[in-house]
Amino acid sequence: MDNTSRSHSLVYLLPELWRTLRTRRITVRFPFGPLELPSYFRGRVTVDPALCNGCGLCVRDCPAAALELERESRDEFRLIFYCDRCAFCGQCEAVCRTGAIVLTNEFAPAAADRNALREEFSKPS
Amino acid sequence: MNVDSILGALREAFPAVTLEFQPGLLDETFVVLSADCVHPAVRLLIERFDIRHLSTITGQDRGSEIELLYHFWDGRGLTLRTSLAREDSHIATVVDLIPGAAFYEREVSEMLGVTFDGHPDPRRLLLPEDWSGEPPLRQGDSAQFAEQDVPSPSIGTAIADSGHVVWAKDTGRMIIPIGPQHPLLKEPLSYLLTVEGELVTDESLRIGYVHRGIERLCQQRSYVQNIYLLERVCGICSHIHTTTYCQGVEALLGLEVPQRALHLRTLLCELERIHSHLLWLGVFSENIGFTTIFMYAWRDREITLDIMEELSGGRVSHAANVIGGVRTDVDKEQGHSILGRLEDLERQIETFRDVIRHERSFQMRTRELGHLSFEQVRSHCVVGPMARASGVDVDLRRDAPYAAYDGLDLRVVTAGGGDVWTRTQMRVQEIFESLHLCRQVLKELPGGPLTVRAPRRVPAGEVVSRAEAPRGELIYYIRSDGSERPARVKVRTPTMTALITLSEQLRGINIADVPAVIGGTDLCIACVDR
Ligand code: SF4
Ligand code: SF4
Repeated sequence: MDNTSRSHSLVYLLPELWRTLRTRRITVRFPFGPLELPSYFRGRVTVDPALCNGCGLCVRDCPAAALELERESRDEFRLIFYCDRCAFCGQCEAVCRTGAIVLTNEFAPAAADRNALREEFSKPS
Repeated sequence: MNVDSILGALREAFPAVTLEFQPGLLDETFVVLSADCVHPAVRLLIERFDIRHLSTITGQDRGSEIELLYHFWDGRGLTLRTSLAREDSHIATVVDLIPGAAFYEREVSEMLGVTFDGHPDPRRLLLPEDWSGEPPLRQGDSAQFAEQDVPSPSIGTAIADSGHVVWAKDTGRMIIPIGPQHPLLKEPLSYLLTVEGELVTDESLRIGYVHRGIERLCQQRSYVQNIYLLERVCGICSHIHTTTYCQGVEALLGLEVPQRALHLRTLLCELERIHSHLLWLGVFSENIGFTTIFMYAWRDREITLDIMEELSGGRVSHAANVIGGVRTDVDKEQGHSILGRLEDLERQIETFRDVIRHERSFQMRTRELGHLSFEQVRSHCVVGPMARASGVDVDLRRDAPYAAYDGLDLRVVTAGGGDVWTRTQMRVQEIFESLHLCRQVLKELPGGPLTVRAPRRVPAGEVVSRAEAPRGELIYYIRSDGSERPARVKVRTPTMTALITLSEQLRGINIADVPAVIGGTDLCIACVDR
């Protein structure tokens, strides 16, 4: 590892410069242009109330207390999602047996008021 | 390490006391001894068996007493276990035998209210100076600690009290405070440099600005939730933390993790090492003013980040590990595309290697700097690339194979120089080895399931889990009491061992070289603070 020479590093950097000059621009113009996200991206959580059976597994496992289950009766319940607390870990999606809860590609749900980030999903009766 | 002869020697040395030996999971042996035997036992381990590597000291509140665990490692684990009374807990320090234990003891002392008799520098380590009351990891003893809330002196007052002057005109001695905001790195760390003229004569360090109490938080969450919490210990090497944690819990559960899952874990571990080393190469180059390499290294680091994002859905927080396997998969086509991109990356890294090897200003800024001898590395329990650059041939991937490393061809890079230059060259060389490992995994990925079902309740027991993080040995101690939540999770990250050596490295160098030394140490402060 010690075979250092006295040659200049420019010899090694010039090809790099050439390569860089030939590469097209890779910076995207977001937020003025679109930003394509792949399907595996873990973004905002959404629930399909028609599929959800209110088992509460996602609520139990959520590490950030971002989910709450409010139950009126056996069949009437609401799943509440607090996007401001969510860590986008995907545990809820992994634990759900019915596929009701999924992470979408939406990644910029910013709001001035954190209450605006609260979402309710209620079971249609 | 020959456990039987060590146990025999311990028995012989302490004939009057009863010693208890408990074989543990993951090749760990526990030896129970009384508190006054710890110091002589450590001396015996060093003198008779040359076992000097103390991985960490775990302290825990066991209800009726405070328990300390000294985790040694030499090819396999050996833990000395001792108990202290709750009231006025104290034990003799081992810093005189193992200087590297200084930070471990300071942490146990503030977290559990244990006094280490004879510790040369018993200041706070992670907690704020004005913290008072019950130590965070002790429960139900607030009365004992309420009266004695004597705040520890701050780093500034400590220096002032020690009789140093901030500036002495006659000797030219000056104390320069650096940090905690942006002290070279973008992480909070503060150090006081004492300089005489241009030379650094002393250094004093303070961490803890981003202490998040993760160990305590772990006790309040389920095993599953802790994966995501522990993933956030470190923002660079998150995957190795979940790997070490999950393999510990899996050992407690007695799970056999599928081979495919182990290989995918390994793949992510190695990609993470490449990403971490490239990140460091960029930061370090920037520290010494070589911005070109910073730009290029960070640009090409994106290749690994993109691959990891593609595999797991996250650039840094991968959430790929679950207890019993992984949550990510790669198919044939994806494997091909990754192999192609790794080839591109390899070409780039060859460029970096050539540039930093031949650039004369780079050599002038790094050679003969921050020197650590083989002996210093051993006595300070330094791990990972920092140790290997000083000739200590240790790598847990080879010495205590976990995940899928057992079946892979792994060459451990070591070098003898022990200065910043050697560390730099060596880390770049390690990237090639990691690329080699990634390729092997992708080409020989076994089929089969990705997970096995893991029960939520973990049977009572304890485990010491180790892994080779990008910066060296990472160690987790996990104890279960049979419930859904761990009773204790202890984390010691590799940077803690590197931090102890900073004062050795800095003493006697020019002040202009301080950034090169600190940069070359590859610190990750947030994960030391936890
Ligand atoms: S993604 Fe994670 S943090 Fe967010 S709601 Fe699901 S489980 Fe909770
Ligand atoms: S979303 Fe899934 S896991 Fe959550 S309550 Fe509904 S069915 Fe259960």
